[in-house]
Amino acid sequence: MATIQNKPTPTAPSTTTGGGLRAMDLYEKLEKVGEGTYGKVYKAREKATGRIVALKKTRLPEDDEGVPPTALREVSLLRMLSQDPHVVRLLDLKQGVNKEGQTILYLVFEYMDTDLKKFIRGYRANHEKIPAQTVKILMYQLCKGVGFVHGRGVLHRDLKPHNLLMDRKTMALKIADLGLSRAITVPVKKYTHEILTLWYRAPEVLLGATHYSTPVDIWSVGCIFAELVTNQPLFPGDSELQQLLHIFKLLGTPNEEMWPGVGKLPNWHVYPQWKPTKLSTLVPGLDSDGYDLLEKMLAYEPGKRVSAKKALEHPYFNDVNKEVY
Amino acid sequence: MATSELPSESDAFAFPCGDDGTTSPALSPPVVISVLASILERHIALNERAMAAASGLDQSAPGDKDDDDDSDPAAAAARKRARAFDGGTVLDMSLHAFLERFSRYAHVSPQVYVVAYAYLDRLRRGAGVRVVRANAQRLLTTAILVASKFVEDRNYRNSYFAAVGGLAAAELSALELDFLFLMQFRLNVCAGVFRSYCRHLEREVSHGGWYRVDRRLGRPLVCAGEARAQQRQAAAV
Repeated sequence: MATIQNKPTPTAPSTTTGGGLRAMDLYEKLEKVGEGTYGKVYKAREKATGRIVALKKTRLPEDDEGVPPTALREVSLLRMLSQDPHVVRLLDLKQGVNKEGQTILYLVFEYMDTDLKKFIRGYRANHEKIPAQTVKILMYQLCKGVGFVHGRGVLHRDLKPHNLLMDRKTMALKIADLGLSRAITVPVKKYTHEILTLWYRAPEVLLGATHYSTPVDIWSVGCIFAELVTNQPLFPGDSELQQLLHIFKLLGTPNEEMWPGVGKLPNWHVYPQWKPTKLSTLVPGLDSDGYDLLEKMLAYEPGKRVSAKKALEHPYFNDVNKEVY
Repeated sequence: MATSELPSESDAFAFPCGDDGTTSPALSPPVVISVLASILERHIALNERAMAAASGLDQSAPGDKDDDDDSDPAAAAARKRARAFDGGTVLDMSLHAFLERFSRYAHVSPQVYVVAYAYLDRLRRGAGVRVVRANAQRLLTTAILVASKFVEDRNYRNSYFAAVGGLAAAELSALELDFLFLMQFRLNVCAGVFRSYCRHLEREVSHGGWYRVDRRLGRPLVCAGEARAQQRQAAAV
């Protein structure tokens, strides 16, 4: 018996079984467009409506792992967060079976035609800089989305250009891939330190702090901000130690005076004593308000890092048309 | 620098304290497990009586076929998922001993038990699934598994959880999906709701319920978030 297709509504994504129809019978795969934290992503057309969507596919092998925590968290957190215009919308969730009889979960998302990584790479390939006003409106939307996510008690923990989807025409930016996210509303003993792609990982995480919070995402936002200005990643380390040394070389080695308690973090050692380089040298091309905001995002002490909400009030964004974004 | 502003809801989790969930005796595994076992035993007894009463009514109305109504495919699918938890084995130990296994062997934290209980409450309100003897083993194992995956950053494999819960691994993985769809993947428990469930447990302790907790615990059953909020309010005065 075929199941009647429920039309998804923005406020309440349905969670349906495909019934007699294989979930993929409802969609025509157009092309593979990438991989998320835990699954392949396809551009697809919904046959009933012609709407273009993104399908994220995760196979559930028998017995051992069940539903990956990444998938389980992404779905549940997106159900709560998708109402925000700066978080990617989860339209539907379908359980199906593949040809080998394995259970598959399909997450159906609104389709966005590019991501910030591709956007930046396009400018780099042309040896051009992203226009200053474009940087500003992208950063404004990012801070707004992160502020919303944090306001709901969620850490993203994997903010990076690849996970920020964009629409080239409208310059809309949306936060995606919440596979490594977690709620911070239920107190737990410790969080893993194996989160955040290395280049965007906050120093307190690299130093082994197991109780971190929203400032880890703000550090990532600061790294993205710098990358939008220069087209190059700010701290491209290739191991945890190299990542830490890279940060210290550029921003100066932290001490107890600027970051009280740093010496007690588990991975703290004696490090070479580098002096900080001016941000205007590291990230040429910003105005003074931009440097002030960037500095506040890259403060060593997590408690002194600007919050996303406060960042939105910073003078750097004064000339953004806040009605539009 | 003094602040006259009371902490907002979002401040409650801005900087989790280092000892969350470890130093409060009220959130220790023995207390939470005992209280939950007591509450669940009572729920099961109430639900069994309600089922018996409903069964009695059914006998006087043999034509009633509500359970077989397939006019709504979504409702039928949900009932099928709910029935997956029925049947099969029934617990051969007390609920207390059963719940304790997850703490002992899977090192499940007290917070996971509270969240699992919140999920069972949501299932009752949403999908109308109630804990009874026939489903307790499967429902509790699955609720604890899902809560653990949502709350903890490190988890055991489903096969391990299945062994602790006395189920086959394949069965537990299938039940997990059924549970998630019945919950409509609504797994997040916000700070206020978590505190409400902690208070619910606190009332159970302070009233004795069916389980008497050593009064020498002293401290009220307050979850860490509220303790932090209270400290901030005290500091703000």
